[in-house]
Amino acid sequence: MTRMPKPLLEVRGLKKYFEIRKGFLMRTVGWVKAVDGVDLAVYPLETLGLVGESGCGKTTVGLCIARLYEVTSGKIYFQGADLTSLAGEKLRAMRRNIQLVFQDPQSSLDPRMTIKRSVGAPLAIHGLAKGRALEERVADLLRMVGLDPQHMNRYPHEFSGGQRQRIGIARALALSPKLLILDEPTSALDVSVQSQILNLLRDLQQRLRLSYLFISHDLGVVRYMSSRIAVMYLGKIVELAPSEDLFCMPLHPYTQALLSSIPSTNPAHRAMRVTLEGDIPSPANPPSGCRFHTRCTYARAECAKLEPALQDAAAGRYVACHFPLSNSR
Amino acid sequence: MGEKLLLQVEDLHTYFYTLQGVIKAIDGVNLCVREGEILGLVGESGCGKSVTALSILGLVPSPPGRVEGGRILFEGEDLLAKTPAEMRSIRGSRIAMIFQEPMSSLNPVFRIGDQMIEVIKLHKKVSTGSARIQALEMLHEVRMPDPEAVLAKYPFQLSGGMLQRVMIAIALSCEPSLLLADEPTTALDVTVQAQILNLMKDLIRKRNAAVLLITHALGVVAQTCDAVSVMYAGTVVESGSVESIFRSPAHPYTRGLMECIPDPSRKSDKLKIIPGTVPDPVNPPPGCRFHPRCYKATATCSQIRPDPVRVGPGHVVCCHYPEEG
Ligand SMILES: Nc1ncnc2c1ncn2[C@@H]1O[C@H](COP(=O)(O)OP(=O)(O)OP(=O)(O)O)[C@@H](O)[C@H]1O
Ligand SMILES: Nc1ncnc2c1ncn2[C@@H]1O[C@H](COP(=O)(O)OP(=O)(O)OP(=O)(O)O)[C@@H](O)[C@H]1O
Ligand SMILES: [Mg+2]
Ligand SMILES: [Mg+2]
Repeated sequence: MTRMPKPLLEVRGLKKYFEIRKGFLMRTVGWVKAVDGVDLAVYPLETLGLVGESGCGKTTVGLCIARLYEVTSGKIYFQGADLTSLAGEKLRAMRRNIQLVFQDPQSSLDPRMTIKRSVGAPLAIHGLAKGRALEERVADLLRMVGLDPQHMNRYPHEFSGGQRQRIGIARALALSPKLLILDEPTSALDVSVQSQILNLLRDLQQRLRLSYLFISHDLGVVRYMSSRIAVMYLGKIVELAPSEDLFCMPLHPYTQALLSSIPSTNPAHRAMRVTLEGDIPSPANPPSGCRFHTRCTYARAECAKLEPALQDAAAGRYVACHFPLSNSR
Repeated sequence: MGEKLLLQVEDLHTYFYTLQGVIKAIDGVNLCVREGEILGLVGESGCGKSVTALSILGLVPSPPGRVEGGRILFEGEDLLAKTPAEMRSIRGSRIAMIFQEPMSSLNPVFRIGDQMIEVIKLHKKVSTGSARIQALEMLHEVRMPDPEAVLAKYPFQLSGGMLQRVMIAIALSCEPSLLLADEPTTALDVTVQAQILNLMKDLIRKRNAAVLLITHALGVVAQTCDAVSVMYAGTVVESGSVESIFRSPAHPYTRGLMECIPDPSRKSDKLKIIPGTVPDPVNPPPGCRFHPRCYKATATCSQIRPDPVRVGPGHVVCCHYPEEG
């Protein structure tokens, strides 16, 4: 990728710590460093994939960007404006541009509300449409995600999982956002339904000129969706690269291990797998130095002492490793 | 791999009688597992994978469920003819199980060691002391770091991957000849999933036990199993060796499933899709259950249920117009 335009979203030094409280007095006994210094950018019309194992902080990053969490420190710029310093009406207006789609459409739709009310709610809340106009807009949104507008008076339980996810997407699009944060949008769906939703998301991106932050632990899905991919480990970005480069030549040993753990659908690939030993350490007590050194096959003494920064590795690639793979081999 | 049949499920029917109607969860399932073989049972949510396992184990919740017909032959004996007491003694000794949620199979208020020792004592009739030694050996075999310490821990103190190792250790401690594993790695991260599957494979091979591995992940099957059976809406639509099914899927559904998964090993332009959704289990379509979603369906498909046909060595498909090549 040559000469990038200005980013739509830019995150710098983002940290989000959760308190661990214990005992009768609920004293703070420690901190879960869920996100511990994340830098990333999403450019107009691109999809940035965010991958990593369970608990590495992907959802927390998404919720901080949508400003559903107060950040511990760091800056979040949207079209150049710092969201962390905005408040009141200005923040509300900015936030319309960023919408979230969650994994579980079941829990994000109110079971007592008709689809018309659920999808129309953002418009009603922002006072953007009512009555006939609201109904027409909802019908448009439903058509856009491939649902029959005649079903708008039905309730969520009358729809299948895939249809509910379409409803969740329609609602996220109600305010014509520029950025969608998609947090595992297809993880709860069957593969045949997943492919329908992924194709829909790609079509919508083209038609509505959207940017996506696409969170997932399924690397096949992320590769299909993303132009660039950020790999997260224990609250940090360890590698960021254009998707094809990342898959063809990972620079970080963690990325390499993650890629080789994917079970390939080709039975002939059995012998080629390198598996990672050990469990993911706790984010309340991350290892010293490079957080990955406890599971890294290439770790040397200094990896336990010094934390590597995310550094420019040329050609739009970034890696946080003292001995990136292409150099050490 | 032995050629001897260990488990044979023939024309199994398991129905649930609910207020919404009769759910024909299993409606004519045929399976066979050979000695020492890992058979993958794949299919989308609700197609009847778990109910198949529960039927084999004699654990279908009743009411509302009932096994309505068929035969389940295990080491030559018909399990459907066994009394509940006989089934109880088969479960955990000759047939063991591992489920997706290890937390739900372990008692949260007892230490790991006590639970392991109890199971071993129950099935092997040994003293507490020797059960403890065997528990330690098993934890060692599943490559648990620091087995002594783990014995003294409570389930909540272990990670998902470690709990799944404990479950495997318990399941294998009684040397079963068949292991039913229902989505044993679905809740785990890919890196941990790969560890656990490799481990399971090693231990199974060493003991020459057979496994029915239930999963919806085709990649897991391709990497782990010897044979595979594909389920759709309460029926098995295709069975064969992993090589032949992945090389030349003969059922349009199997082919569709393989093509709609984004392949991590290459960039795909547009994903193939299977149009429509899985049928309502109360009113499944007549004829071939897949016909409303099938690109090559004809009038025959909507009227006549296809019988199994052989398309290769050990490769069987239920389709009027199997795919070629
Ligand atoms: N509200 C909260 N209070 C305390 N700890 C939290 C909270 N939310 C998240 N955490 C912790 O922060 C860490 C990161 O969590 P997060 O949900 O962001 O991970 P994730 O990468 O989205 O994982 P998954 O793939 O399982 O969804 C975890 O250790 C989690 O337990
Ligand atoms: N206790 C029950 N009562 C009524 N219906 C049931 C019961 N258990 C299962 N079913 C129905 O039987 C069918 C098959 O369910 P089963 O749990 O075997 O699916 P599965 O293939 O294991 O799906 P998943 O991948 O989601 O685990 C479903 O339609 C389900 O709703
Ligand atoms: Mg998450
Ligand atoms: Mg199941």
